[in-house]
This record gives sequence, structure tokens and C-alpha cells, in this order.
Amino acid sequence: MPLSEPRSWPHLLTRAMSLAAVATVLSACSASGLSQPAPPHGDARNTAAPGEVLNGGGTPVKGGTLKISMAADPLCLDPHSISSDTEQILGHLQFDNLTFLNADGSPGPWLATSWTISPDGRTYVFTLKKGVTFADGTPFNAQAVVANFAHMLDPNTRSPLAGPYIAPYASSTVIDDYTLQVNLKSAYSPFLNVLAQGWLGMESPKAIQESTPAQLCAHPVGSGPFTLTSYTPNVGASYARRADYDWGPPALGQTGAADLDGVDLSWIGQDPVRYNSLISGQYQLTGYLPPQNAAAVQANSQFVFEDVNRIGWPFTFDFNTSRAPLDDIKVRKAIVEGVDVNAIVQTSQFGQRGVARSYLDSVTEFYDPSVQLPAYNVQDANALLDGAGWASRNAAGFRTKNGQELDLKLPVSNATTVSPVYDLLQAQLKTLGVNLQVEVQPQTQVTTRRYAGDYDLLSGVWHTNTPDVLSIKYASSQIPNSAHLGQNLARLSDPTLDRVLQRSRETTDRTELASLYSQAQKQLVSDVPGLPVYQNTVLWAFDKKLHNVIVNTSHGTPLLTYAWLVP
Amino acid sequence: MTTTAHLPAPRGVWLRSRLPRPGIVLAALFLLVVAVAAVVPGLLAAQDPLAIGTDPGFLPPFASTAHLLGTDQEGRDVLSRLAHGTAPSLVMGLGATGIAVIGGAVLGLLAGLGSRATEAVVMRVLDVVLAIPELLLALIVIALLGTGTEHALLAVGVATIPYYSRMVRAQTHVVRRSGYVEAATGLGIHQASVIWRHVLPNAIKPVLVLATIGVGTAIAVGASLSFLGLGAQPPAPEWGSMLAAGVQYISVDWMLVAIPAVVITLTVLSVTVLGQDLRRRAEGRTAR
Repeated sequence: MPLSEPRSWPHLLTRAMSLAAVATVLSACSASGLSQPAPPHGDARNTAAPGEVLNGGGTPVKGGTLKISMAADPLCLDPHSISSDTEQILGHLQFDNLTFLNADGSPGPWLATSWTISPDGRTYVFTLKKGVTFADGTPFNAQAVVANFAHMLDPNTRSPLAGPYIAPYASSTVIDDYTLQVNLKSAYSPFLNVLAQGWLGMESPKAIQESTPAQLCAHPVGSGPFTLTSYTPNVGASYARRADYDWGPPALGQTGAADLDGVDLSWIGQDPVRYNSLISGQYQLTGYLPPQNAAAVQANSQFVFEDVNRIGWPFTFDFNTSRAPLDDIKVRKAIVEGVDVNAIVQTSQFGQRGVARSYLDSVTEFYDPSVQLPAYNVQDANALLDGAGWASRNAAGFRTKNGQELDLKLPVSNATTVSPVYDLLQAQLKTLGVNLQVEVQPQTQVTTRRYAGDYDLLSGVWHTNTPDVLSIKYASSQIPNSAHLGQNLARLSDPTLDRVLQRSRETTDRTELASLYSQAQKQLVSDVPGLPVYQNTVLWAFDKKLHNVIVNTSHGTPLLTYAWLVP
Repeated sequence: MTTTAHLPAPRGVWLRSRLPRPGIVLAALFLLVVAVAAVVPGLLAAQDPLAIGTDPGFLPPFASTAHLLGTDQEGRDVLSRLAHGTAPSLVMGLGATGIAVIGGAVLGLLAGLGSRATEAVVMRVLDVVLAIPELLLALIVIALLGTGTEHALLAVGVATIPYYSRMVRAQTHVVRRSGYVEAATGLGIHQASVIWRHVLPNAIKPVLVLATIGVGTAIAVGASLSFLGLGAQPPAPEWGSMLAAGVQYISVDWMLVAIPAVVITLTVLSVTVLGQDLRRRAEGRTAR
């Protein structure tokens, strides 16, 4: 879709870089029973409640093309093949899921109208919705679901999220066209939740079968309210309404086709350009509002601004516990106590994000507010470092042990704007006598180092829709190696924690789950596998001409199925 | 003893004394300040350019005596970052031009004094390099070697070599046919000695004038590379990277963009003004 901009070198380069960045933004999926309400309105942030309808009411206007901007192109639109966070917004334009998260966070029906779970938690029998078709005319049925599971797990798909999320999947038995039995290798209580995530959207089995992975990336086919009409990598994509769509999530309380004629999407990597093009009316919605511009948008009565806290793992610096110096728990504890996270968050996030002092985002189900990392205490931190043998200092003021300086390497991708958080952390660690070396490198190099374990710190977020994020980030089976690109980047191996996390996947008993996840959080606070910094919130804004935007419970993103636009 | 060449311009024009024009005085004064900042940045700004204290970010200029040019997004002193960023920014200009002049002189002499075949090969290769835009060539070098100030410097230097080598070659052709070179050769002086003592000193002078102007361009290209995140790496202060960081916050505090932009512009402008003046003097034209 058209985005006329000058093709200067710097412009193309930055755009290319931001696109590459997007491709690597790792996000996790949807939420499981989100029992805890989002923080109320009235604090500095404007936090929408899950499932809330924004700028609702009024008589819907038919027609019009919605123009939206996103930060970066995942360079592939096949939801099973990517991990880009943008999928949570644009995926739901084109694809439908088996389940949909209700406002309370519990999994509700969508293309699966009902299900039963065997007592051992290993067998799910789904009843599927009838009359659903994909955009290429292929009917949706049990065979289609089987083909989708197979595609997610196919090594050729190289699925970074969808596949790993259904890793316990073993096989399927087609009972009839609209009844499917799914057999799991082991009990997996987050299963229904993850099925609601954008990356697990249902694709046309015909398109899957007839396309190469590259073709599917360029032109995937779904059953959603819009169909993809064009896609130009790094520029944008266009979607057109499907007039015969009539199978939206029942929880939305609306039926029929979309009101919008279509959606035009542009990738705009530069923060200031994305902000200014929203303000100037070129776009009616942006999925990624830069935090530095949040206050200005909030003060502008022409826009609706949302700042939604997400289920999952907060923005955290992973500590590489598998090599010196961070294999020493005293050094890890010293960093957690010696860094004034409040100051970092206040300066870098413009009051838009809350401080994280635990390894689970506060809106996640079974988050235990009583489990917190110790408070900021420089004296303690210095004492811990002295006790760990890093007592002497060199001429530069950095601590040394046996002549070796206390250096920490943090590889950072040059694909996006380097966050001020790194500078701020570096300055604070310097006062502790720790030399943080921020190494800005091409994304491919960072990825290689990430899986080879060549780092002391790495930073990131993981948003999903279940507290099972703790298994993804900290189970020892998730330590990455050449064969398995796991996400346990702290390389933490704690048998006690492993047992607790494994049990949490097996049980559906909520009392037991609460106790298990609380135990896991306590264990992590004593293991100190990282430095959590801020709550993982997503900032987005849209013009008030756009109505009926729904906050998707799964990831706090805007759901545009029944949005309508005043010309 | 070196035999001094008689360039086409009469002797004495090179350093002909003339009352300098105000623009040139201003440019020279500005460069003097820049030079002081490059050598002793502490004279102009006492604060640590990396220090993140308790001061708020986005302080406007002159709002606080502690921060004459305000603070950046992380509460760091802009004046200090500007002053401490001078040396890396200038090193880029001077270093890259140095590489270009040395590389250009070697290749230019090789082409100018070598056999016809050597000259053809060298010049055609340089033609190919010239066909690729400077910044693009620099990006290729960085793609091969990785980011960082040294690589950016090398990249810009290599990219501008052809301009200098073409001029050295042309000058060499003029000088090698001059009477004193023919005389030296006729006297039986070793060829290397003729090149080193007679050809090079006389062929290089106009190149030095060109280099003065080139320094300005190299500073600008270096700032462009840093702006793209390919030069100096954060949190090291450098003008181009300050500009890049400022752009992210342009809606919040436009001074973070304006200040480094104005300093880069004035520096490049001053160097160019002085370079042009030098050229006019060297060519014996009236400064106009």
C-alpha cells in the first residue's frame, strides 16, 4: 500500500534496520485466565480494562478504509512463522482462532464452539463451528485444524512461537468433520489459552499445502474478517473486507461482516515519524506509540490513548548464570539491590510504565504481590560485591578480582533505536564499580551470541496470556543450544523450580496453581536470574473518528473486527 | 637540499598577505573554539559527559547555570557532551582525510609515474570506485568490518581516496615534465629520490588545499554514519549520534536536535570557508 516517502539512503537504511528489528522482537502469546483486573483509571497511565470497548456507542458507519501504522515489518505474514508482536494486531484482521479470551481472562469459544478435557488433562475433544470458510473457499473443519497443527510443528515452518507453544501436542483423531480429538504428550493446562494467541490463527489448509514457506509468508490465507490484497515488504499491506464473514468471537456480542471496507497498514520504523503522522491525520491508529509522545497524545482530545499492561514477563535483563561473573549469586544480588530501577524507569519511560520487582507482570494470573525482590540498597550491594571477592578497584574505579576487571557484556541490536535504559543502567553500575559494556551490533550477530551463550546480560520482554511464561523463561529444558532455540536466556537450571513449573502444567486445580506459581515466583526471587525493570505495557492511540475498538484481553492490543470510521 | 618547484602560480601568492575578510575571521575563531574543545574539553564544560545525576532530562538551554545548554533525555549535560564529542567528530574529519590523502598520493604517484599499463589499471579501478557514491561505499566498508568509530573513519577515508589520487596524478604529469625534474633525472639522481624530493612535494600542494575542504565533508559524512548508528557507539558523545538521539525526542525538546545540528553545520561551513580561501590564495585568484 502506498506510502510515499523520499527514498534517501538514510531513510531506506533506517527503515531496513527497523524492519529487521521487528522480525526479532520476541513476543509471547495470549493470556490465561486473567483474573486480576487491570489497574483502575486515574493513575498517570490510561489503562484500559481487558475486553473494554473504546469509543463505543453511536450508529456504525459502513465503509471507509482505516489507515494504521506499525513500528516494523515482521517480513512475513504467516502467523505460524513469526514471533513479531505486530501479529497480535494485524493477525486478527486476517485470521480466526479456535478460542478467544473472555474479558475475565478465561478461554471462551470461537472457531471451537465447545470442548471437553479428559481428567488426566491429556485429551481435548473440540466441537468446531460449521459454515466457516477460508478466503480461498476452503471449508474450515477438523482436517483443517489438523493441517494447522502440523504446519506449526513442521520443521520447515521454523516456527518461533506457535510451534513451541503447542510442543506437548502429540496427535489428532478426526472423529467427524466438526469434532476433533487432540492428544497431548503430557498434561498442559495453558493449552486453551495459547490457542487464543494471534500466532496460532487458523490458515487455509489448501494454501498451506500448495505454498512454499516463502509464498505463505507473502500471501497467507485465513478465515478472518479481512483478506490480504497486497503486501510490500517494509512498506505496508492492504486488507479488504470479506462480505460473507459471520463468525466473529461470540464474546464480542456482534455478528456479521466488518463495517470498514478495508485496512491499509504502513510500517514506520522511526518513532518521531510514526507519532507525527498520527497527529497530522495521515493514520487513524498506531499500534506502537513512543512513550516520549504519550503525554502529548493523552492531552489531545482528538485521540484515544491506551496504555495496557500485558500478561507475561516484564522488561528484564537476563543474567547469564552459566558463566563468570554472574554465576555468582552474590554478584547477581548486588546488581539487583544496587541499581535504582525507579530512577531508570522514571527517566526512560516518561511515567508510562510501572516498575517491576518480580519476574511476572503484575496483571498475570497468579501473580503474587507479596513476592518482591529486595529494595534498592547501595550499601548492601557494595558489601555483597566485596564479599564476592571483588573488593579492590582499578584506576578507572571498576572492581577487580585477581587482576580481572568486573566487566559485563550486553549485546544490543542496532536494528532499532538503542534504548536509553542501557545508558542509565551503565551509569548506575559504574557507581557500583561494575563496567557494563553495551555492544551495539547487527541483529544476526546478537542472535548468534544469544544462542551460543556469549553474553553476560541480555534484555527483553515476553508477553503471553498465561503464567506459564515462567516455564518458557526459566525451565531448564528451555536453555538454548544449537538444536533448540529455547528462551531460558538466564540459562538457569534449578531442579526445584523445574519440578514446580512442571506440576503447574499438569494441574488445572486453581488453588494448587496459585500455590505452585507463588512458589515459583519465590524460588526465582531467591535465584535472582535477572534484573526486572519495568512492566511490559503496550502503548497505542487512535483518532476519535475511529469507533468501537476492543481491547483484546490476550495481549492488550486493539481488536478491529467491528471498528468503524466516521469519514 | 630540496629544490623548490615553481608552480604555475608565481611564488609568493601562496601566502600573500592580505587583510582577511570578516567571514574568514569568524570561521577561524569558531574553529579555534572547536580546536580547544577537541584538545581540552574540560575548559569549556566541566561536567562528565556520561554522568547521569539527579537532574531532570530535557532542561532547556540557559534554564540552569549548571547546564548552560540544558540536559538531554537522560539528564546529561548537553554542553559537556558537545565539548567531549568534538574530538571524535574532528578525528573523523582529520583521520579520514589523512587516509584519503596518503592513499590518494600513493595511487596518484603510481598512476602518474608508472607505466601506461599501470596507469590504466589504477585509473580504471578508481573510476569504478568513483562511480559508487561516497556514503554508499562507506556503508559497504562498515558492512564488511562492523560498526565503530575506527571503521567509520576508515570507510570514509577509503571512499574519498579517488578524488585525491586523480589530482595527484594530474599534478604528477605536470611536474614530471618540468625542467627541474628532467634536470635531476639527467644528473643521474636515483629515481626514488627524484620522486621523494622533487615530484611529491610539488604535486601535493594543491592536494592539501583540496584536503582542507575535504575535512569538512568528512566530518559531515562521519556525522551521518554516527547518525545512522554506524559510527560512535552510545553512550560515547559524538555530534552525529547526539543528533540521532535527539531526533527521537524532537516533539518533546527540539533543542536536542538543533544544538548538535548547528554545531556540525558551523564547523563544516568554517572549514570549507577557510579551505576555499586557501584555494583562492594558492591559485592566485582574488578572494571573492
